[in-house]
Amino acid sequence: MNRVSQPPRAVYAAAAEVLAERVVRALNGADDAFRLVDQLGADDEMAGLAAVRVLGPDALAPYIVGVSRFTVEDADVVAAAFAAFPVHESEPNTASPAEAPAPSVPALRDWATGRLLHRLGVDPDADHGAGRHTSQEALWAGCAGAEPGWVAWTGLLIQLAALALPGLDSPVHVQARRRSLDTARGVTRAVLRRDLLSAARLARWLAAAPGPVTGAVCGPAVTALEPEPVLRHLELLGGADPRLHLEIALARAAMAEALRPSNGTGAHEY
Amino acid sequence: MGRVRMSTDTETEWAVSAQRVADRAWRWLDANHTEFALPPDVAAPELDVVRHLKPLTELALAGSIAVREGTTGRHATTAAHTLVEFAWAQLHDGNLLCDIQRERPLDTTPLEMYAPFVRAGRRNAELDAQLNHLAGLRATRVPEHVPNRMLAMINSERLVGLATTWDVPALTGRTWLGATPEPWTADLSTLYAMTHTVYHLADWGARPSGLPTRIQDYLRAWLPAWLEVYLEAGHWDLVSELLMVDLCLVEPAYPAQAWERLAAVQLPDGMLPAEAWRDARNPATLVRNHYHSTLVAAMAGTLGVARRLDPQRS
Repeated sequence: MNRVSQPPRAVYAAAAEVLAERVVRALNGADDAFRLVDQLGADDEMAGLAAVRVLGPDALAPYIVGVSRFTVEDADVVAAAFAAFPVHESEPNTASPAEAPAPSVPALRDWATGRLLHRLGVDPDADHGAGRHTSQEALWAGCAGAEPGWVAWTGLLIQLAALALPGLDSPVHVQARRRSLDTARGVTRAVLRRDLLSAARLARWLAAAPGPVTGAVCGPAVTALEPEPVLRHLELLGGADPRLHLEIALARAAMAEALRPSNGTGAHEY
Repeated sequence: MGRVRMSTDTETEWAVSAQRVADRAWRWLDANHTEFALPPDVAAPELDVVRHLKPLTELALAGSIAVREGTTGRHATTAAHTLVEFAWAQLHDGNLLCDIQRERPLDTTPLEMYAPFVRAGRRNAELDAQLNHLAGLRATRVPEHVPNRMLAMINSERLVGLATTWDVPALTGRTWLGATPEPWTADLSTLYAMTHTVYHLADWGARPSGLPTRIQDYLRAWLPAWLEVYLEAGHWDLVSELLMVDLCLVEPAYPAQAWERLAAVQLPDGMLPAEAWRDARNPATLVRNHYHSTLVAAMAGTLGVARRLDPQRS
């Protein structure tokens, strides 16, 4: 590919915002004809593919929650996005340099995309590029065994917010359920620092991996940190950032999933 | 080979920092407290509460905590007695508070200012008589105070020994903290209200059980988040207050990193800058701007050393 013809970063970011807005509209029921294939502009297909890669698993959310119907054309778009922006070898996650081994955030996001495609009926061996990683052990290294402090841990959860989607379960979810007080502390810290995007991403984890806030640290009198008031607060007072509103919509999707009676403790098929 | 608990060092690191913070803060207070001498030519009722009276009260408060705890080392104890004595002398052994009360009978400031001196063993018979009389009036039972200041007044009445009764649980419920609110709504002024609700209910760490269990649980959950935010912001004054809140709990968390950070940002002469961004060099404003954070650091460090020796207090 001719690198000179590639759109600059700003164009990709703008395309990601446009796609985020469209996913939000689909999730909110304002667009019942959402199709990934329609997101590729005729004049700038690369930007649309970049947006699909930037949003990663989140781009599939309308299909996962059932508001849109996944088609072969949509699967082709994801495959094209992986082809245009291929999976790189895992790079060390610099967010927690003291912890070894550190999880690879891109690899885990791609794992999530692969899982969702599988749920949507795509052959897991299809050449879409997602989920092609060395081993499950390597993939989840650093997610289960180590016990980083709550600031470092919630920093990782923020990076892995795209895993907090309905239908996904993983060692990260297990830890997040166990450490829900830490997640709630992270939400608190993020809102107070005016880092609203991170607040919304952690609220997704509160919604997708609810757990007891009570326990050894606190007595039973502490009320769990409810996600919905935080989400409403961010929605009404957090400005117009499309990425923020995507996180809010996805947190609500996770809450709705958690409320579904059929939803047990999860199948744990990582 | 003998059994060595490897965790001992990390368990006590915070206490080493607390001791260090306290020692140096007391040194600075000892050297700078006369800055808060009252202006000689201003009549008692005309003294400004914030500019003149509040700093003196706070010197006495910090001194009274160290006198009460009595565990902070030779220098701190000497400095604590010096501060109480200085402030008491500035108030003419309490007579100045009588003058203010005569001018403004419903003002609870004299009572609240008097309480730390009582804690440190000072009494003024005329003021005692005034306060006893006023406490018996219906008029003083309904002060128009914000909720956390009601608790300040009630704790002062208790320390002074006034025979009053209040529905403390109901009044606690009217404070911001008492509502156990969404922790992500906290801001600077509500957090200062929160710290003072804790101080007055727990009498500045003397009786942690004065804090209802549900509030202890709430604080154990969210204090770490608030502490982290204001450590990152370099708001050392509030960080010190939050560390003192921790020491008012039945089971403090003793956050070692926060204590170490506080010790690290304290200046060599013992002054703790109020905020990382505030000018800590201008000699004209230095003491006024940074005395409060240094006082809180002295109190928190002192209480830390005391809780280290007496962790089970209730």
